[in-house]
Amino acid sequence: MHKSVKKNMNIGFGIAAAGVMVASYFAAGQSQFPTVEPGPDTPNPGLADGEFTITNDETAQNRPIRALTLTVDNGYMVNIVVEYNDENRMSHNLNTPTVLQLRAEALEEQSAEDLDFVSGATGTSQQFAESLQAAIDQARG
Amino acid sequence: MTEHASPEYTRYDTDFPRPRVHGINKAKAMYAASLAVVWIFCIAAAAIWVYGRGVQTLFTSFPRFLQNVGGLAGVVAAVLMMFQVLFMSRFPLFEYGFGRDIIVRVHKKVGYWSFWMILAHAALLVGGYNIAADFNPWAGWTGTGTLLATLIFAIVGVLAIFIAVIFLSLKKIKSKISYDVWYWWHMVSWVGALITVPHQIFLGASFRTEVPVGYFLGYPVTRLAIFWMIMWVIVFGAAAVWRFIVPVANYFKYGMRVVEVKPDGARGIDVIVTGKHLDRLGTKAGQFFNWRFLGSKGAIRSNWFSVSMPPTSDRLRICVRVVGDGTQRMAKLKPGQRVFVEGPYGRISGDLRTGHRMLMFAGGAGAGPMVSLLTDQDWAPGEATLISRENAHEDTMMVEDIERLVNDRGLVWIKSIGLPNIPAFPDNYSGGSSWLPANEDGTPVDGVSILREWVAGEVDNVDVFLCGPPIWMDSVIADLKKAGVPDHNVHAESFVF
Repeated sequence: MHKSVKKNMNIGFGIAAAGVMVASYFAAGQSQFPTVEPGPDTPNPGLADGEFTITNDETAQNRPIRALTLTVDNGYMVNIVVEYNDENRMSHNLNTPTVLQLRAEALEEQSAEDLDFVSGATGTSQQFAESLQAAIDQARG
Repeated sequence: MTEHASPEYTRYDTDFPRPRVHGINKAKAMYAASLAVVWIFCIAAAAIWVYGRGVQTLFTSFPRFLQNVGGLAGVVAAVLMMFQVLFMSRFPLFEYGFGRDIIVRVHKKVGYWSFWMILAHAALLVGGYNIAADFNPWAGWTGTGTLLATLIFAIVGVLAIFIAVIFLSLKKIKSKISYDVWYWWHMVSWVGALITVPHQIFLGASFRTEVPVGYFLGYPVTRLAIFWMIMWVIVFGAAAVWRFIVPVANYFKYGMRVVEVKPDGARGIDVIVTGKHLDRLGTKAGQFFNWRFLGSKGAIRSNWFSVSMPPTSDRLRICVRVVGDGTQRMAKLKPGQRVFVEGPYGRISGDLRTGHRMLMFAGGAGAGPMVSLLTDQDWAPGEATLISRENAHEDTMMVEDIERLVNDRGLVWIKSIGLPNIPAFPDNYSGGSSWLPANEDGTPVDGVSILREWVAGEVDNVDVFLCGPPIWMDSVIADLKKAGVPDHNVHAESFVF
């Protein structure tokens, strides 16, 4: 009695599943470090346009950021891309929410000063703020 | 000793009420909805892993590959555990949509797979992290702080699940313990599943690739993590509601009490229970409850019984074969004792009918649901046949009700009396089908041709219902298959747990 129901539903949901997986894949790809357009009221920090990369050679566990790249467009900070020291998923993923949080804050305020450090991840927060400040200093040249 | 009376039913009276075939569509819809819930949970879990950059980082390095696949194994194990709880939550959608037989079969299979997925999850992650850290097991942990504590939870939870489930799946143990001991052991595994949840949220890589929406105890919580939590809340919420809250609420709402206990056959009793507005329970003839009779010794122990007459607004009746365990205590029940029930459960009801005729197989106390179905359903004289299988004449249950159906409505009653035709009774063993008694002349029993006679070539017009000992039902079902009765016309469900 249920065989035809099962077959039809499995086909239908199988197609839906494939669609959801593809959508999730592309949504995930964009969710990492997207470029942020500055809001209309944001004061222009007046930086030099271009990409400014700060690299760290330290490999201590509470200094997980290997490289930070700041992108400036029309004087505005529009993107910050972070690379981690290792490909270890644990430290990578433990740090990602912290970095995303600080990054969003920095892009909104167009500054590396007065960032709210994430509790439980002060090492990461500090390194991010220092690296970003160094990149901004480069852009001020 | 078998009275193989061949049914001489009259041709159908066209004015006679027909089976309510709309029930089939309802059963199909419930099945479809149940299957949809399963699919949605699977898709959601897989999507979480993909959205959490599971694919993008899959091939960046070998240890990373192991870590990502290990993470996926963890997600799969978790969603399988969700199904384990959800299927056993007594959520009516699954009880009716899948039925107890499918649920129990799937429960075993899913349990097996979640066991191996948990082991794979642990092995792949330990391997992946150690390779990445040059086999220094302590290197990866500094800086992860107190989040690591949630891993302790995971280990404790998994141990609880494994100990409980491995213990329970040992056949020797399962046959020795009562349903209730078995039940409460299972609850240990539920608690185990529950305490593995924090490590999924706080260490799960898939939940850590977004800007957090908030912080819990200082730790970031993402939208995806909240979504995952909602899935768990649905699962354990369903279990809490249908396992505990509804039965307790019903206990107070219906105030069920024993009104009468009387012998039924040489080895059986009838228990009649009363209560307020019992029709609001929505019980259908053919369904069953889990019963506890409070105020007598061992009241915490429960037993499964089907209702043995169509439920009315103030009466429920069960017939009980006194065989041991709880049923011996039941002979001593007194009127006025309060009754705690869980149910109604089971998908067997008249709704499943597709044809005009009914062929009912009752083994022992299985007479209860069969007679209540016959009483409840519409059929013309001669269209319904009841086969009562008993070891001895005086054991036959519900004789009064059956005789009333024979006299008033034209039920064909076939009494099949004699010791089981199995090697365990060598004096009565003649080989062949084991669901019938042995032939007196010692020739093997040919159940298939007897069934063909009863079905009379109308395989699509007859619905077969069975209730009795599982081994006996299996034997009947095997012969029904050989006699050409399609699976979807055979309706059997055991109180398997």
